[in-house]
Amino acid sequence: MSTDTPSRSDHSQMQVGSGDDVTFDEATAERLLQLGISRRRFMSYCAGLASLLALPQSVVPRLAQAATSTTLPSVVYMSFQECTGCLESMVNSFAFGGGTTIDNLILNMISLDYQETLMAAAGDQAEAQLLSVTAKSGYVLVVDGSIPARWDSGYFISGERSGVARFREAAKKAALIVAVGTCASFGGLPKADPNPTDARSIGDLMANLRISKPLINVSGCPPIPEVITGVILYYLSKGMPKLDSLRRPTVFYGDTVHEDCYRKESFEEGPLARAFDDANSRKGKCLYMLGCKGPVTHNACSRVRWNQGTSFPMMSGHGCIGCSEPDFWDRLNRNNEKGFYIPIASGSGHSRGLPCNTCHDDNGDDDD
Amino acid sequence: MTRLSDIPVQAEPGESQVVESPLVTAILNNIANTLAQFLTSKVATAIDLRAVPHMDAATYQSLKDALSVGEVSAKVETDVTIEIRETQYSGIWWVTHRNEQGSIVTELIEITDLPDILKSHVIDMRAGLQRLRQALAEPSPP
Repeated sequence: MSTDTPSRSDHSQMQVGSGDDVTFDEATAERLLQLGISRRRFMSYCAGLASLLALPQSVVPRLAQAATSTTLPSVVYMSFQECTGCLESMVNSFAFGGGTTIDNLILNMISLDYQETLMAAAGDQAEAQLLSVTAKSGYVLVVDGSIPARWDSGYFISGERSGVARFREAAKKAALIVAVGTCASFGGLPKADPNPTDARSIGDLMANLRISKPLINVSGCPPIPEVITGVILYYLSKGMPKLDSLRRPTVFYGDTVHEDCYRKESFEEGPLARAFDDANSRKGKCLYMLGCKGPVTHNACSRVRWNQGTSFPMMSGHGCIGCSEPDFWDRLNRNNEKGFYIPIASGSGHSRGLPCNTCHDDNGDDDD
Repeated sequence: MTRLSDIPVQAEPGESQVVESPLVTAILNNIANTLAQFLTSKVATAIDLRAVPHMDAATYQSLKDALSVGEVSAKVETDVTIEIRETQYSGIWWVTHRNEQGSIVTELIEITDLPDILKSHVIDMRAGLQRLRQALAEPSPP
């Protein structure tokens, strides 16, 4: 896979990488006025986004330019073996804002030229649109779902073409490929044992097909809506984000869910919750022994949270299931057992790399 | 008549805050350097408190106490609320962005003469002027 950074210059007229000298210009203010958006409200929105993306606040005018640009990057969003939960996640993030134009701006800042679920066209018309859009170079290809490796397996056919054929054609002239969701990023549920369709992640398929394009994995089942839109905004305003070894943007996947979890304190000092809804669970103690995969799961759930920053699973008393990591359905935990409610490893101390006294102070029943 | 300056009142400066946290000291030093740069370059800077590593509740409060509050405060109220407060050091502003539910989304320390969020933009002013003229052009009710 190529690690080249695609140029953003063909998508808008703004300067990228020219330092932080961009001001909140008149054109942006004019467009906000036309859209009926309060400029101060929008500045606050961009300040929050910059903070979320770990960007300096000086980039706010650039984010504003990207979000209000009249030259929109073409996006082709293709779905394969998936449940539409990722698209649902992204689209619902705007519905909660009461349909305010600020939230809709994210959808307005891209030209969504193909998406089977959202587009009005169907059948031959939709296929013609796909061929027309992918005939031009430089679009962003967003892929949702995994793809059966064999083109003739018959497991995924759409428009009389296999998933492999559809993806290979669509990828040819793409400037960037974004794998949205764990199915596209790592195979997800379709790839789970026994993987009847021989499902592959987009990255694996690209390697098989020798497609060399920049790839960003935005994993999660589904990914957090703000993470999906944040990655798009980052790309529009700053170009390719820094990626981890699994090609996920480090700005969102650099830390584990555990790092910012409010239950983390008792992970180190005890006591731990031993049963769902027991006294310790209700007191906000760590759910590690109930199978929480937070310590080994890289995602922004505890930082960004879900439903407009309302909460994340551990706040509801349920541990992390590790959905943004490869093969999370089949993860082998303690005693080589599979299961969301099986602890990652035995013991509460040594196996977590904690000091001896922590382990032995923990009632002694989980020493290892 | 006695002038104001003749009244023998003197405000005793309170005991200066003892800054115990090395992180707070580092941030304050950074702010001081940035303010000095602003005085010569006029380039405004913002420190994102969310991006400061190891900013626990105690450190946060210690920083807030050290900067304290100054003479100016303002509030922007749209569907979200933005609170702008000058600290006891002129040119250093504590800016809090809250969401619709009132939770803090972003918190910044801005080093500038006036935070951008408070300034009126020329485009908005032109639109305002147009609306005002339209209002004036409409006949007054009898």
